[in-house]
Amino acid sequence: MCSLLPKYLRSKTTTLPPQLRRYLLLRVTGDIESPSLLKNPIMPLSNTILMFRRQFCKLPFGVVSKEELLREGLQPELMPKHVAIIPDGNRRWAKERGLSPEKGHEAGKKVLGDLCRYCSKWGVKVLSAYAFSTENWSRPKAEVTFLMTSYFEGLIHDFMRYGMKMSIIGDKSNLPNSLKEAINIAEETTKDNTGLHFVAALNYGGRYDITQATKKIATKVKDGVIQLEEINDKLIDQELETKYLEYPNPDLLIRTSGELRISNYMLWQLAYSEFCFVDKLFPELDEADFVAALRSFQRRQRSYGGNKI
Amino acid sequence: MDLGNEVQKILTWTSVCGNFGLHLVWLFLHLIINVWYSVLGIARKVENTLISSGLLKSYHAINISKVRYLAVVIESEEARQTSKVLELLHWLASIGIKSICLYDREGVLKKSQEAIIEGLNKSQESIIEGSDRGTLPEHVDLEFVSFADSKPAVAKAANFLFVKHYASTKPGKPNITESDMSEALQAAGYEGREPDLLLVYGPVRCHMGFPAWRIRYTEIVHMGPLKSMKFGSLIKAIHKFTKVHQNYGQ
Repeated sequence: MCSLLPKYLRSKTTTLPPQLRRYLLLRVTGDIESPSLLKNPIMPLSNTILMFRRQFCKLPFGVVSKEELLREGLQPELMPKHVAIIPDGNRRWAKERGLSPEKGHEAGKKVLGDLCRYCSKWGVKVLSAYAFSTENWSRPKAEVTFLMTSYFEGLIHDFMRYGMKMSIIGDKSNLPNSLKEAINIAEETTKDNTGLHFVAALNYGGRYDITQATKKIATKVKDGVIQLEEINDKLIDQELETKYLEYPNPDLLIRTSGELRISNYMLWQLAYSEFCFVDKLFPELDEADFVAALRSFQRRQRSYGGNKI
Repeated sequence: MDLGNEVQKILTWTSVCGNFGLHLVWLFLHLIINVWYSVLGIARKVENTLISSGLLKSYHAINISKVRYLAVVIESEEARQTSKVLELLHWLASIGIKSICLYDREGVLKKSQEAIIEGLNKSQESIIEGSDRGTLPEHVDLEFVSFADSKPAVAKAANFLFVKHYASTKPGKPNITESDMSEALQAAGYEGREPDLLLVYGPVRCHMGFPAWRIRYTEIVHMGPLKSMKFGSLIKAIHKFTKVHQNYGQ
């Protein structure tokens, strides 16, 4: 039914007046700005409609066609190249259900896997996720042990099957040896994969990243590779952990659980990234939310340091 | 033959009814969506008005001590509206905010620094025009920041660090820590405090290059364009912030 409706609206023979038909089409493809949608990009009603549509017109996995994108109100040329996500709320989700934090993380892993599929499907090139921050070591010992010994290794092994390129950024020096080994295997095995590039930030912090970049530059200065007067912000850009990415700076940052901060994630790289704060806890995030975030991103004006694009 | 005609008639009639039915469903769906958005818009406006007029009791007792340092990011084009910036500062001062950092990428606010401070001083003793929000506190600390204090400042701090510590002939790799970087930024004159809350005024939902080193755990709220700023929205954002609990990754 839902595929008939847009066809009916697009049809030349429809009895609707052309202005009304065009208005309704624009409304459904999200090109007409809605003030309330601008304030709160993910509205319950639009979610319900999107889920209703998903139920009755299953979209295939793999990259969708341009027509499919347009039908969802998305324009291929405005798709964010790099989406960063702060997957917050796993523990709260578990607590609300009387489960252990470990169960919350497992539920989060499933959603992260789904997000990788959505990104592949909708044409996003890089997905980076804040898996473990430099501050997370102060969490309960049992939780940290679980994350470091089985959870992240399991996540890496599972995600290797998705056929995407994988990279891990962050301070690997104090990670367990088995996890370091899993990281090396994953990066080596997937380095030639095309399509989505999935980046997990493990033991990462924005300040750590800036500091390690400065340290690398200091070494180069000491070794006479570069001169002191050559040091500028562009040089720091080139030494950040994200320098190997095709698109190092996120276009869109999604943070779940309604928190309105970036919690020391990619501080340098997020200078001109659009922020989308979602009220749902991470394990509750679904494709409707993701598409709504993409649509919201495309609707907003973009500005890179004053240059409107 | 008659049967064929009958079938044809039934099919035509069915398709017309189906078309009409779909047409109605579609219109009804969009009517619901439009009504929903309109109701939300009206509700938001009413709420802002009620907050501004002080009729909503829940917004009366804001624990303003939680906002030790507030940053305001304004899109550079909008930052040229000095009167609007002054109005915003009056509002913040009347709420009881003592320390404010003003940022725009191109340094428009920095250039208007004297005019802004003068404008604030003029109304220091007077009651804000057209409202009963009391007099301004005696002293408001203002910091003016631009992109020059952001990424380029980190590069300058790095330079300072190398000159001071690592340009010597000491063997081994330089060991630079986060606290070294903080100290270098301070020494280079770019230290600045970490804001508790950052309000973004402008068309885009991003912090437009605000000094990265300073916003690890800063709450970021997009307030919409400066020209349509509302006192109610400001109170609401600050009130919401005072209710937030941060666990700093723990």
